[in-house]
Amino acid sequence: MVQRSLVIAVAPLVVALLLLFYAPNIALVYYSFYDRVRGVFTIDFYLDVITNTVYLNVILYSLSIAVTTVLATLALTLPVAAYIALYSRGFERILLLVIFTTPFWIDFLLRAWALKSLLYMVGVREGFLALMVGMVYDYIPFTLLPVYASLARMPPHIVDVARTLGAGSLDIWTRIIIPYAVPGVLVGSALVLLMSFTELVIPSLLGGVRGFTVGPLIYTLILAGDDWGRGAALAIVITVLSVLSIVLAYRRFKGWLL
Amino acid sequence: MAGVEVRFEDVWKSYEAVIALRGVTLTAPGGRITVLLGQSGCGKTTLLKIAAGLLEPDRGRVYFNGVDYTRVPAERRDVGMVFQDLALFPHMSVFENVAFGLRVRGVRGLELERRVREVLDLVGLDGSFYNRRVTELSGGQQQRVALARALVIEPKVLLLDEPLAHLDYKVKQRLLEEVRRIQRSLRITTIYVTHDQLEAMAVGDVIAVMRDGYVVQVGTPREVYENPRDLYVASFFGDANILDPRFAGLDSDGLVALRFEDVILNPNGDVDVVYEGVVEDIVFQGAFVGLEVNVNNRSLKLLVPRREFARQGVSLGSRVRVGWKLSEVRGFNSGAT
Amino acid sequence: MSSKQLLRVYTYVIALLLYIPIAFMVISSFNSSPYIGVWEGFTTYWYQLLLRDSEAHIALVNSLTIAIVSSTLSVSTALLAALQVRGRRLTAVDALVYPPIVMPEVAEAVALFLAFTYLGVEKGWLTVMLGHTAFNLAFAYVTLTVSRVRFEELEDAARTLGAGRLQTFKDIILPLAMPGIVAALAITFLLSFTNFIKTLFTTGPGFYTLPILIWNRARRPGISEFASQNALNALATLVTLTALSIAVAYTAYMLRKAGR
Repeated sequence: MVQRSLVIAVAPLVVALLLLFYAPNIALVYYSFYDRVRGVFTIDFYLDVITNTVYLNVILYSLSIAVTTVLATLALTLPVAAYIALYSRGFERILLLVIFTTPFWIDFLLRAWALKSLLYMVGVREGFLALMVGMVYDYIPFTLLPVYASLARMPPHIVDVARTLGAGSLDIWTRIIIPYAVPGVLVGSALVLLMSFTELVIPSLLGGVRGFTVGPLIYTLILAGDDWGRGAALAIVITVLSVLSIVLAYRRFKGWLL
Repeated sequence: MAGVEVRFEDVWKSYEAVIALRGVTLTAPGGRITVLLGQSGCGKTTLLKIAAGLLEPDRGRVYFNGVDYTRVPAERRDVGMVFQDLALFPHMSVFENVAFGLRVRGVRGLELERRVREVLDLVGLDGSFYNRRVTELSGGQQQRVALARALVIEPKVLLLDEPLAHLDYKVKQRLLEEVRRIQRSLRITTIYVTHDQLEAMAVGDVIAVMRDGYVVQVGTPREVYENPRDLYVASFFGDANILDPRFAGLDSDGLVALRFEDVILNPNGDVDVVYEGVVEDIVFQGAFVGLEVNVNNRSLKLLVPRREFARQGVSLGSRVRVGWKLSEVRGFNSGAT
Repeated sequence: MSSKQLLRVYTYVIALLLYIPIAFMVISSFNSSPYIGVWEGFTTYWYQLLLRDSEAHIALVNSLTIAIVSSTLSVSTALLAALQVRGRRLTAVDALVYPPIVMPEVAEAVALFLAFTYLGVEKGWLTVMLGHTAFNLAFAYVTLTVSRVRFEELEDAARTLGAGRLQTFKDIILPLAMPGIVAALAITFLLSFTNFIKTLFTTGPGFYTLPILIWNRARRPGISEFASQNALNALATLVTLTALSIAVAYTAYMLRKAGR
């Protein structure tokens, strides 16, 4: 009796997800193996994507941009997270959290657009620098919040306790604050790596000729080039790479993601 | 009104892999407080929820005054239940919490107000509380609201699930007295779940000791205390030394139990067994003093009235005699605990 | 200066940097010069232009209707499930729900494109809305389960007091679950309203939402007066303000709830 009402309640969600998410993914897999021109199934598209230097270079270039983005956002946000978690109190903490979460509500496209005009005015044209500034600017909140969340779980007064035990500032940072930040750092890094690796908007809008990363590549293959097979294979390859990084981070720190 | 008698007959219940109840048969007499006593996981809360109709037993029946209530859903049972975490509605005032059960029954206007007022008077909350949010109240006050909310519908049966678990000692004592007072004045059949033996003794007319899904023993507090059915009951309900029967002075198998207070310090005759030993620990407990005496490398615990202890002038390391009457030693048929 | 003071100054500098581009965009939208960085005076000309911008009107209507329908659909579907899923059970549902969140959006967008193409569905309002809903379902469900919409003991309490399922839902669950429902609606609405990538892949010729319109114009600025820098700044400012006002209303609602 209870079981049946449960099934009835859950069924619409499950069916909708199956139709709208899982079925399209079957189409994705199908087209990644199906050569429309020759009408045969093949693994050539995958081989192409992971052996053809053109694709490989784009993947590696995107990865290097993603890794740089992760490192830059971490370096910039770690002190901010530490300040909010360890020193801010009451109203100031709420204010800072609101300040740093609000950009979440504004779309990437709009923020990238806003940045583009500003960079144009100060003389930075489309290119690698603009691309990196755009990436860091857009992804700061995504590293900040997980790092803050893990630092906020530090027992209160632990820094004071360490002081009474004779720890200096350096000890406090290396032995207490950074170890506590590690889970948030990993989660934030995985998140930013995943998103910036496959980013489409920022490279297209700010990167100019240096903006040809996997996002724009897939866009070109599918929508402009009509090359569904390679586009689909590439989409699957980056999905696998991304999901692996998330799973690894999640395995290690269960419960930190949400 | 004598109150509704609640009877469980061969009630079984399991959750996935865990069997919570293994054939419980028990009668909660009308108008009395029956305590379900046991450690966490013994099945006492499951049994209470079956009484409430919140769970259906896998097997077995539940009768209210002889009428089969097994399949009657909770909302039609007319039971008042106080939950472990109280389950007060956080978005409602004190008044609205208590009024909820009446509103559901279509009671409105002056009648509603009168009945809520009556029951809040009964639990000792005056008009200044009516519009307070329940989240602003102290633990003891929330407890009173929960009790009032359960009582206002004039239930057939009152079910209390560890209602005083999170309260301070003093508040707990006062509320225990009030629960008894209210129950006596309403003569309502009450089933009271607790893991605390002192609470059980203080409040129970009948005590049902539960363990691993079974009811191990049923009786008045005095019966259960004086004649525990096995070693488990002896050591869980009150405190007892568990001893080798030959050491205790009996010729039997297994183990025997001897209550702490039945061991007499420096007896003058009137005992059947006497040993000598050394006092190894003294714990002052107020009215009583706990002693631990080493007798031939066996540790024996005693509970001595404070005055008696003072008169004897015993201190750590003192050599003392300890003794007891054989009639106080409880032997059990099997060695099973 | 102590390390605390130093950190504090640094924190506010970063906070400021985060908002400078947005502030610049807003200010530029009131600049009477069409050239970036050349201030000629205050004007509302670009906003008046928007009044005549029929493409922007169509895009606004499309964005709003898709966001409203998609968020309502996904939240009600997810709520139905979230209300029934007890405790930590039903990991099977969780396992179905998380992949849409983890999968790179561009890959999901390609999948939707291929599926709709395979089926021969004409791409437009419906395909965009369904594409958004795929993603929103997962976010709505996670938001609802994280923010607690089940109150088992309270539901049990209401039942012993004589309330049936419907009454328990109306009087107990719904008022208490409201913050979670509002959160899920706000999040899914904004995810849909501002979505770009999936829209790009599921839209057809001649159908566009606000982000698509902005994208098209941002890539080819100056092809018409409507696509000039500051006209675009005005449009972007309005979209940002819409998103921010929802964010502010949502935060205020949550703080009021938490304060009580």
